[in-house]
Amino acid sequence: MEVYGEVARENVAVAAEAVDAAQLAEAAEVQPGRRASLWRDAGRRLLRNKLAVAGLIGVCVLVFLAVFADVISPYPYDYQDFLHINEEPSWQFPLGTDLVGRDMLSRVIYGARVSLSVSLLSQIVILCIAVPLGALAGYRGGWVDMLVMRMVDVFYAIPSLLLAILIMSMLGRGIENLFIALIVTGWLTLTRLTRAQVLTLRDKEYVKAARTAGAGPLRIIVRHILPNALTPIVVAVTFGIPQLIFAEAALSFIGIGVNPPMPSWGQMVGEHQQYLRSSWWLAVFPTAAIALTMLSFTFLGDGIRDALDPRMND
Amino acid sequence: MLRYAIERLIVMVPTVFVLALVLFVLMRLTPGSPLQPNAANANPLSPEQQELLAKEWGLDRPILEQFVVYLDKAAHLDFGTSYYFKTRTVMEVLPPFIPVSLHLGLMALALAIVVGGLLGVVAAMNQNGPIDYLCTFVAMLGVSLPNFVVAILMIWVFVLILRVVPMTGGWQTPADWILPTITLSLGPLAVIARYVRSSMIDVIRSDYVRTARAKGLAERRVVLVHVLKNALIPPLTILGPIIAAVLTGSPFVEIIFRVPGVGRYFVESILARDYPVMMAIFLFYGIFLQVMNLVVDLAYGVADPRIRFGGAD
Amino acid sequence: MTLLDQPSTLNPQPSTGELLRVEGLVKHFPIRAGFFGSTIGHVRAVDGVSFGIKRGEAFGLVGESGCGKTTLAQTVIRLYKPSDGRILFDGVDLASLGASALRPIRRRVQMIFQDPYASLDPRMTVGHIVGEPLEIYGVGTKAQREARVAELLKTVGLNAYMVNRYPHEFSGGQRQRIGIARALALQPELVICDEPVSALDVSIQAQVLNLLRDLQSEFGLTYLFIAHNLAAVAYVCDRIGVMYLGKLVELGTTEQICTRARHPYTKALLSAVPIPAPGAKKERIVLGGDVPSPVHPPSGCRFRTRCPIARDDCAAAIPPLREVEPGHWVSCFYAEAS
Repeated sequence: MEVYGEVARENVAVAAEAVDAAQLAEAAEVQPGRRASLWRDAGRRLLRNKLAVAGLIGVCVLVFLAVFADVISPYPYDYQDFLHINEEPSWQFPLGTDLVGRDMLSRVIYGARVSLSVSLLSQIVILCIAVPLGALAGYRGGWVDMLVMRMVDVFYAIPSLLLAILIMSMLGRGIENLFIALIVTGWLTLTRLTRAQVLTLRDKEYVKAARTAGAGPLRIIVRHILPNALTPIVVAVTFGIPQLIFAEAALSFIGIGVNPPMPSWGQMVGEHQQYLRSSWWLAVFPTAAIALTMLSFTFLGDGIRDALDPRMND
Repeated sequence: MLRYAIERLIVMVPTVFVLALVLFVLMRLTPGSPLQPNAANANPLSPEQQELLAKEWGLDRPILEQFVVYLDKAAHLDFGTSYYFKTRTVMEVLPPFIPVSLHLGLMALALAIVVGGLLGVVAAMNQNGPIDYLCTFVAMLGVSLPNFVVAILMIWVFVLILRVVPMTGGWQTPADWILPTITLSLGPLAVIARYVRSSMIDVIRSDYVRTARAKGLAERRVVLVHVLKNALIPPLTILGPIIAAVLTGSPFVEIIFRVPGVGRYFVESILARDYPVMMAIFLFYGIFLQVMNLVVDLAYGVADPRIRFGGAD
Repeated sequence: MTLLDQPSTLNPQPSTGELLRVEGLVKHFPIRAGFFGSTIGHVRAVDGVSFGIKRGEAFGLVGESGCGKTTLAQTVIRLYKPSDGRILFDGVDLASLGASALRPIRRRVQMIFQDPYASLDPRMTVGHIVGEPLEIYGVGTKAQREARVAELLKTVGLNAYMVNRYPHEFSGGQRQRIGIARALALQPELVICDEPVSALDVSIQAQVLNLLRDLQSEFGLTYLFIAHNLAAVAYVCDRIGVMYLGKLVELGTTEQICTRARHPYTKALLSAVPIPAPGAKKERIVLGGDVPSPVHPPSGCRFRTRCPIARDDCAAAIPPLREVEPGHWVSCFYAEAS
């Protein structure tokens, strides 16, 4: 989804960034409702959207698998049964076994844990870096802004997947290095988004009112700007997670992601895609897992974005 | 227009510079690369060869000079010998792969633009109708699914189950071209369709179109021409990122469909730690993208009359 | 019936001394264009304005949109840093102060904003909004602040139960009152009213104007009152300044301006004020042309491009403000009594 995600989300965000941000921010302001009821309203709208609900269910299933993998999966993910190597799906091994006798079902279930943990943790770290950085750049302007924007430009010159590949080849395989690569390549969008939001909201009259009342920059950012910028940030995070899942899958597909025997769907697909004709189950099930996960997040993300922006119902 | 073109050209310079700089820094920090060859077991070179390589890249000199040496070598396309093909230089090994990838990329791009554009136009004209929903759904699939996922699914469905496409590999016959091209084009297609659709809707709803209609331009064709001319300009702006997407998506497609292209070679060189090749391909990719961005920007400048004829005030 | 049939502000004898003195205030905004963001010009929003406001006085600033009055207001309160000039508040020059030095001063100067729909944070309750200044300066305990907020709401004619509601639940007039309550929270000495009624329905405008006048007399406030509606300004203010394209063109008491305006622009403004008597006729002075761009103002007298009595030498130099009667200043070479 680097391919599509970065194009679709990134450039919907980038090309229409100011407009989108302002629109979403204004929509949020015009009909904020009681603090609780904005979310309640959005929640109701979300639930009416069938695709979004389907996505929500998919994401919940993913989370469930990830959290309870130890309990649900019939075998440990690295348990090798040498009597059943490369076997078709059967009652004993519902998704078949791989080339060294590991149960595919268990590995797919544990793969959920890897995908989810990598993407969630990376996203959280990115959030903690990007939002303050973007807010600082947007509010202060001047040389701080220039510095941050130059950094963004630097990173923007290089396709993020290529950069991630370089970083991984520099650091070596493994999940810790994967975090680094994902975070270094993933902080751009949210930073720019936050900055755009802050720029838009900084000149709002209620911010000016707060300044005349003596509020300092920190207070203004935390109490006035960020709460009104929440909507686009939430949407960005909702789309950011599947982008990270894709990035991990892509890097593992190539072979420079997680280290075996840690199960990663991308790595499974990459390793087994050459056997598609003979042992189809080796590649198809992890592929399906990725497909369903990405679709679920996309449906959910679209649903959330539509639910939070009442004007989308044109 | 000239001023715009010059501006765009000027912007390219620092970007390419940054590209080269980032590569330099990362390679410097990567044990085994030509810029740090003296690492044990990090590359298939003997200690004497490592020493030679270090000299060649000027690693005994201060770091700024190293950078200049590096830039100089890159400008002359001199990346040394491939670690893997120990007797051949990178520039001997690499070129054969390029036409294949170009071919695949161009076809995929063309497919994405044509079909995506058509889809977007049709969807906008039938807004909220069944065709629109179909297009939106297809677009959503294209946007969410990574292309290696699509590739696997395509093979599974069309080759193994439905048997409508023969199982091929490589890039010999046109039959080899079908699935890779479709797979690679799907994501960009979806994005283009979405953009064109929303741009069309914006134009259709705009005041000047309503005026044209009110004036009695009942000729659907006339309105269509007006609308199309204006609606197809904004989507030009995403062509740059689209090209980037096609480029970065190609390795996966090439691997799965065994297309002997640059992308697949890139991945192989990574796994083989053939750093000279990696460096060369990385730079090519980066510069190629910058040039493509420039071309797209210029095309947009020509298409958008506001830029072509200079700005007001 | 003229503007003056409405009573002017009734306030007790103001203490002498000027609370605010603006001297040669200039605020230019650079225009950046081109690839390197170089400055290719300036928007001369405020181009050398001077006036003084006595303690307890209500000073009005009038002019059409784009003349720079809002920029002036926001510069005086240091939302912007002035490009040049001085802002003397109780003798202290605000123009050169840094953020921390400004903090104690901010308590004494507050602002009422124009747009009741934009000046209240939609995500905060009314209570939080009105109480925020108190919170920022750490005034009293939480309970004391809450009591003060309730008191403020009552003062502006709102109900205390509103503290837990959100701004969007109220009408424009009510929101403006909330803004007024917020402005009064810290018991300021100077209140800058930036077009406080322009965004309200006409029927509500009168209510809010009355409220502003009552508040001034009750708390002994000093006002810098900005509007494009001359009638509103005349209703509330003791003295009026007329602005055009970043400069003051006329300055005087309400009576002087309303009955003996000398500058052609002021006369045109006055002629546009509707007389609430059916059948009353009067001469409307319609100004031709558009307001020139504040980036490239006309040479000499800024108003000459639309002035009905402009002559050739009006382009040669900017007419200085000259005193045509005590306290009444005009910037025009050919001003005559009406």
